[in-house]
Amino acid sequence: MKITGVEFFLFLSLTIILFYSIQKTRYQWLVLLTSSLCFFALSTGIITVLHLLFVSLIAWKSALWVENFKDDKAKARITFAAISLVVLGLIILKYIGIKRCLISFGMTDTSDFVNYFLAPIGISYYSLSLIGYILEVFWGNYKAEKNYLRIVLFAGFFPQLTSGPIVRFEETGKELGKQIDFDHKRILFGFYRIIWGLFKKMVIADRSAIFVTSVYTSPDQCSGAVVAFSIIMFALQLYADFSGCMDIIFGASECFGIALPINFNSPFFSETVSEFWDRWHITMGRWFRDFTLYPLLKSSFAQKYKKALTDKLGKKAAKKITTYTFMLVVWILIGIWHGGEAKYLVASGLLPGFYLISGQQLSGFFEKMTKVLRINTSSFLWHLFRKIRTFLCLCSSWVFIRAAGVKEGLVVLGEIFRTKNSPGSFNEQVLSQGLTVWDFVVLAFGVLSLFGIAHFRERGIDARNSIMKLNPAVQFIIVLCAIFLVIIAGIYGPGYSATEFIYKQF
Amino acid sequence: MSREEVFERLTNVFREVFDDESIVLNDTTTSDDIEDWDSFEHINLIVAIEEEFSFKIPMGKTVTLKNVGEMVDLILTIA
Repeated sequence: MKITGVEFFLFLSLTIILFYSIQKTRYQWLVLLTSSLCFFALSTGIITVLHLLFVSLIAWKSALWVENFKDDKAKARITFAAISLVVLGLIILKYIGIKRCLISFGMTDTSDFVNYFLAPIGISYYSLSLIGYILEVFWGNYKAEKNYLRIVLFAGFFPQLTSGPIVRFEETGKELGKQIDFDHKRILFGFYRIIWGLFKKMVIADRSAIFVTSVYTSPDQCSGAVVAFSIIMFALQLYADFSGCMDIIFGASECFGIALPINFNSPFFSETVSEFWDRWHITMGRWFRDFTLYPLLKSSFAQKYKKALTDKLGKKAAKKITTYTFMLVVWILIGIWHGGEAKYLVASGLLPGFYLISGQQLSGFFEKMTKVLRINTSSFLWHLFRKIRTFLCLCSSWVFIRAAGVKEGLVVLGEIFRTKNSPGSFNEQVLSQGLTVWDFVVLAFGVLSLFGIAHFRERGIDARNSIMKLNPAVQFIIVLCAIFLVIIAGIYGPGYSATEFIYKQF
Repeated sequence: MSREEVFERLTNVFREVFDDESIVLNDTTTSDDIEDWDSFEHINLIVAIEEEFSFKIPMGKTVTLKNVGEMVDLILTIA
């Protein structure tokens, strides 16, 4: 079930009706649990529900055992075993693939099994959420949840099953148990966000995708400028796609009075790659920082490594090299989490890690250069330069996400600089990639809307709050226009179903 | 160990980690008040505090400390 499809909105509406029809009772959250399991079964098959139930059982039981045991070593062993089981499930179902596993066990006809055991949607997201829960109980951040079904809902709350966010039990798990009274403003608020998400996905992302796909299919047929333009268009597609998906997820959750943790915060306003990762896919960055980087850096192994370096290179250098070494390990893990293929390792791991480390390492040099060149570092142009520089760094790494592989990504980058025999003017080439002038007008409007809303949000002005303050008739007209815009200007794939979200594959 | 003593030793740790002799701490000091105090430097700070006060800060506390005041309270509780 796609979250841009009619079936999803019928499913969501039905769940909202059921949810509020039993308001003021203790059982409201059970509606969300039942709907989530139904959504899961309808999306990837009933057998995969078992995986969610199984890993939730591991997390729930191990956390309770950890809390009851007195011996620290026993607690650590249980935590390690539980996390290993969750990770093993993730590796088998997502990375190795159940088909290859069955073949390795000597099974030749695997089709029936494969159909039942497709990698469950959202497996990467709920697996990380559950690992976070196990670790936080082990660290004593909060008490273990006694009700197993609440853990299942925390991991499998249906809006977040598509593309996250990666949630933490302390914030989202407890939100999911609250009793929520019906308030039409809440539904309206959620609805506005869903419309905004659909606009981003169907009008901007899917439109950009047509151009990007065409250029990436035969980059050798396009001039360097057109290839460079397609790389920038892919950045727009990726952002509109992922953040649009998040808006639909957040909007759907808001209808139930559940505020999920923020995942995007105007990322293209970042002036450094480090700042970008504090604004893009925030819950993933936070998860890897808190549950992998920090424990690794605090480990006795890291301290021994730092001490050995201190003896040779001095305290300052040792501190930096230790941090960078483990940051690189974490960036590789992030790359593996994104898909395990070499291209994801480069695009989501090694390149961002390289930019981040080199950015930190060279910050002193840049500071000196600005003084030597007498650059006014508080000027608008300087800030704009830093934003564009960061954006271009990211574009260069995202080439590998879009390309079929690392080699193909390098070919696309190389095509920017290769001299070619007059492939036509820039305008002619751009308009021969499947989009018309009208499409580019719509895209320009979309980009202006994205930046306009992000610009106001940076200044603490929320578009939805502003709309809610307007006269109801004006609100109605705005919403109607937005719906028509999505219907008229949206791009519809084969069979009138929107194309898949890029981040759903992770 | 008195609160003042903890503050004094903690200030020295901060000055060494962030290589800034002008740092002055109070209860409400947060990462927003010290330029280089980002998520990466945070863990170096935690490790330096552990070395200075000879104890281990629980992993859970590493990410939940909100300001220097909470840090001092934690040191007084554990050390």
